[in-house]
Amino acid sequence: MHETDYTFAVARIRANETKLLSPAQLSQLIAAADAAEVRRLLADRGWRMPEAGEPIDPAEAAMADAWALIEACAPDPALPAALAVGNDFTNLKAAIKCVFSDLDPAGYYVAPALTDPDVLTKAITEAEFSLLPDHLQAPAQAAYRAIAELHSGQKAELILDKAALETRTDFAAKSGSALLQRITALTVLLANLKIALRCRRMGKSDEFALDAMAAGDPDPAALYAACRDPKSAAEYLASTPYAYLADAAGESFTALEKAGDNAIVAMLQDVKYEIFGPDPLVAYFYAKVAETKNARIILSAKAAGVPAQSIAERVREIYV
Amino acid sequence: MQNLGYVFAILGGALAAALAGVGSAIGVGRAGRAAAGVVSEDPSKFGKVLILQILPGTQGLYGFLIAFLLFVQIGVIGGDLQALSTAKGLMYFGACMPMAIGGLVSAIQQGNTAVAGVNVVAKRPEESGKAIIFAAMVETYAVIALLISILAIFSITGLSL
Repeated sequence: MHETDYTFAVARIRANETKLLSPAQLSQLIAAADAAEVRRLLADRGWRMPEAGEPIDPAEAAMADAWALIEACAPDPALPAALAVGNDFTNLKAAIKCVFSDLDPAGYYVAPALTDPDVLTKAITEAEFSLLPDHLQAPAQAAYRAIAELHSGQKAELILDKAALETRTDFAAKSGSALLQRITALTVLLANLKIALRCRRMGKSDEFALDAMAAGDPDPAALYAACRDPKSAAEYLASTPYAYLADAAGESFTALEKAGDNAIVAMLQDVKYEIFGPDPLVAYFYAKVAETKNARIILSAKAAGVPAQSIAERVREIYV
Repeated sequence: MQNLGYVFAILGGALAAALAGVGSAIGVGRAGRAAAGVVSEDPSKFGKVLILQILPGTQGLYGFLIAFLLFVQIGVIGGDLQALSTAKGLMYFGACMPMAIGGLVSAIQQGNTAVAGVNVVAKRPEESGKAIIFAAMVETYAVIALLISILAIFSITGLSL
């Protein structure tokens, strides 16, 4: 698809970017007296707030609106598919766990996703994997078998996490978005890094760790060999294009996650002035994900009476 | 072979009109898609984005003007056909090229700048004047191409070859 085919979509997205929370508005939310004031400020910015007793999550509703916009204006369906495919695996995990725990998975499904949750539930309940789309069939079967035959929920989770990352990489490559490919590569690296460090700390075998890591760049085997502890991981990262993660990797997983999120926001800034191509849509999607994540953090922290300073440390940098 | 001069001259005029027109169609089309995107979210910005959409359309008019002037000069329009040497026909062909090539390229580039301007209007409508100036700057090169083509056509007409 030619980059200029996105002209209409990019203009619509730019018009909607004015509705994203600005850093000043985010500071205002953090400084709000309580959760009620946060909800009022968000409502002033156009967020749908639930009436008394209405089961609406404001962040979920805001994300659903943003997703509807992206789906409506993206000229190539491969782009929304690449953005949503990760949630297919989150939902598959929920379906498998709930079916084996005799729970209703409906409450655990997340949106946006490619696969209809009802189809997912039916496929797992009846162990009829052919009902699933191609990218879910093999991982669903392997994860189902890990629980049914090996009684290993951990194994099932590792299978699905690895498949999710590798599928996201494949879909990103087909989306035509260089930005999405960079974000996905960073996500794979962060996941592999955490697996390597956790496995080292828990004394898991090399085979177990390497089996859990997804294909990516840097090569998982080289990454695992170099990451014996957080200090050596930091030294290794300093010699790669991901040197900006080195300090956080030597510190803690929380710091690493925050550094990863901030690195994604920095990538989004690179396409802030693009006028053609799919990247501005990807940037808007991730900006909206970060915005809803921040709104959730602030709302729950205010409800728990967390001081503004502590909330400010937890919220992520934003795109606008 | 005696009409070869006319073949070159008419080909030059046709290319000036066609290539500049193609460039304008691409430029106006792109700016229009961006403008539609903004208007679908905020119809009140129609007036501001319409100006940006129109800007890349001028090259098509310039190309038409060059073709018209040339056809009048050589008598294709007006019915006063006179002998036209191959050399003179080739010179007319060359005279049309600034408008043909300059019009094509400047219209497409102006369209891209207009799209960027529409995105400026989407986010900061109060800056629409600046966005229009950025797109209008590209027009300079279309006007230069137009002037050179006009001057060349009139100069060639005065030559006896």
